[in-house]
Amino acid sequence: MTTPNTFRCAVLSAIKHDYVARGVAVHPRFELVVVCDDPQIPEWAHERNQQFADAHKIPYVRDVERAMREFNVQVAIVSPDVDRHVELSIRALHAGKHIVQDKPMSTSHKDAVRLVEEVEKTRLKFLMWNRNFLPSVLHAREQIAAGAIGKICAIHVDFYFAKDAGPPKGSRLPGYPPMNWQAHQIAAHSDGSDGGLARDPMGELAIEGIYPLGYMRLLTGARVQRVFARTAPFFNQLNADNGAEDLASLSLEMEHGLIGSLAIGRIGAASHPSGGDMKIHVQGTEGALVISEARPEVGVYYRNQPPKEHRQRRVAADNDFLQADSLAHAIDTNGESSINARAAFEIYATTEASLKSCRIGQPVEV
Amino acid sequence: MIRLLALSEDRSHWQQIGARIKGIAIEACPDLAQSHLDVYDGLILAGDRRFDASGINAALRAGVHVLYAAEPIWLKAEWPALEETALQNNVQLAIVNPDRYLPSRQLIRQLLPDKLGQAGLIRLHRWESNPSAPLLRDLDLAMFLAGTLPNCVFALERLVEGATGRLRQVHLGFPGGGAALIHHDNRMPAGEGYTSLSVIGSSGAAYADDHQNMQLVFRGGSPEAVRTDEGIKQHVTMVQSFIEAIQNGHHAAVNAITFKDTFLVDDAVHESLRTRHAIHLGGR
Repeated sequence: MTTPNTFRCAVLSAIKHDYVARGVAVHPRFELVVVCDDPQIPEWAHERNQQFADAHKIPYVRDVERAMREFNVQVAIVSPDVDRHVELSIRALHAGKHIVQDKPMSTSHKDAVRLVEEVEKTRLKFLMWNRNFLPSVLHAREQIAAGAIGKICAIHVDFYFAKDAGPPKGSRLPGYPPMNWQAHQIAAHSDGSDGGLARDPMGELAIEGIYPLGYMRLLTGARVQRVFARTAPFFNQLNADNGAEDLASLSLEMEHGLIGSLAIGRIGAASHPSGGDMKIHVQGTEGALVISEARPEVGVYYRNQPPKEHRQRRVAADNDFLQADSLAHAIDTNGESSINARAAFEIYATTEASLKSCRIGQPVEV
Repeated sequence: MIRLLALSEDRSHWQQIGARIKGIAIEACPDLAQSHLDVYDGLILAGDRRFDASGINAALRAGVHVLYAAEPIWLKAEWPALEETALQNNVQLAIVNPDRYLPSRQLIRQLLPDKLGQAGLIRLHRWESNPSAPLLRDLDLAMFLAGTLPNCVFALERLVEGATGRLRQVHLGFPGGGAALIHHDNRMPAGEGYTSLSVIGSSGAAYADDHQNMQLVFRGGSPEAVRTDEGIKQHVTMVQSFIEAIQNGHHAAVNAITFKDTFLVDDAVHESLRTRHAIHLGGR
């Protein structure tokens, strides 16, 4: 069966990370044609969807099924609050649409399993949005594929977001109430730090773990089998008040005898001049790689520069196009996207096992 | 004038260090048997070579202070007796981790906790081509920066077929939620190694990575990366600290206690490797 040259896309809620929809739209074969959402969502969410629709000069429809039906879409881009990720994705699958979903996959194991089963039953394509096609990550993959370091033995990723999440830990005065998780996430939309927009608090490992674990999966091809983790709300009052970790360290045992580690956290804006230190270390039988994930980059400094503006700016990143291209290719060839539902579930299971390991103080099988 | 003897073949290196510290002179010779120990105030044992406990014992009995900055695990069984000899002869036996004195590590330690806050995550890579290199100084450095002992230890190890040496990964948990990840690879190809240290604190962070300190050499083909290292200051600071301890009469037992704790954690690492479980260190 021939696939269309242009994939018409419905944005199923843009209230969280609208960069996913914008990223997909970078590819000439994907066209955003409608924003839609359920009518019963809060008014602030409708406003946000409407703003996104207006910015892209497309309609906003307060009826998901009607929008998917009437606008003849082939792809649904799903980025609501996290609690509705799976529900909206499954509804789109039932309507026969391929899915691009924002992270994290789900808030529950049961829902994550349900999503994978639906994707595999419908045989539609699923892409969990990720960063695997950043230039430095692709460069690392090339070096490994060329045999520069022999066979991989170990991989380590540092994935720190140097962003604040409100005031620092320890700043709440006696007698003041704990910070409200959801209210903060709604307000954090302005700087894209609302990855945990959900009813219940979510820590950094749960929210962001897809990215570094995605790198590991891409570069090694190995699944994580066992994990030991330590987590803590270390930096932010919001996380401390809501029992959600903002710092995590993982020791990983992987297929084929590989070992690995992950250090991840929302470490505060003061802790890096350009948004966070992200590094990949890969050890092989014949050598090793040290990769700075942000490169290539340009240093930019000027008088009266705002303190929080990045001093090093990433350039030449093509991740958006390449992610969308992987989905287009998957649809065209009945292949798989860069992170399909099954791979996304494996990553989800690793974060789930990590949080259990932290609770019991022992390693856990994934 | 304080006279020190370094057991080393690199006379020039130790003389340069002596020239940077007021009121001391450092001589070097490769073999204790070639020297008259009693003319010296202190003996320096540093570097990768193994030193004999009997030589240390003889120095202590001769009333010579000893700075031991080599690998302590090689004399693990002998340290209690050597401590006792030092106490009986009223001399210093300073067992130090030379990595603590690297300018980068000294800077980071100075910034904790006032500027960087409490250490949250310490990440240390040390890759080298020395199959017998133990892990102890990395454990010590992590605890030095964390300012406390771990309450939990988990370790992984991989031997690589056809290679001597191994990959070892140690995951320490500290009271208060902090952690350290230490990666030691002692089976790198022959040549220079790699070290990287990052400390993420509750109010700031420091990154001391060889990657940042590499210079490029173009000779056709892909450029080579060569490191600008931290030079002689490491040993200058170390010796200065030793001299101050002698002059101020600090008790020698302080250093030995530090390394007893490091040995305990090292034991926990081996226990974790054996059992594949996390080892919880009680009462901490």
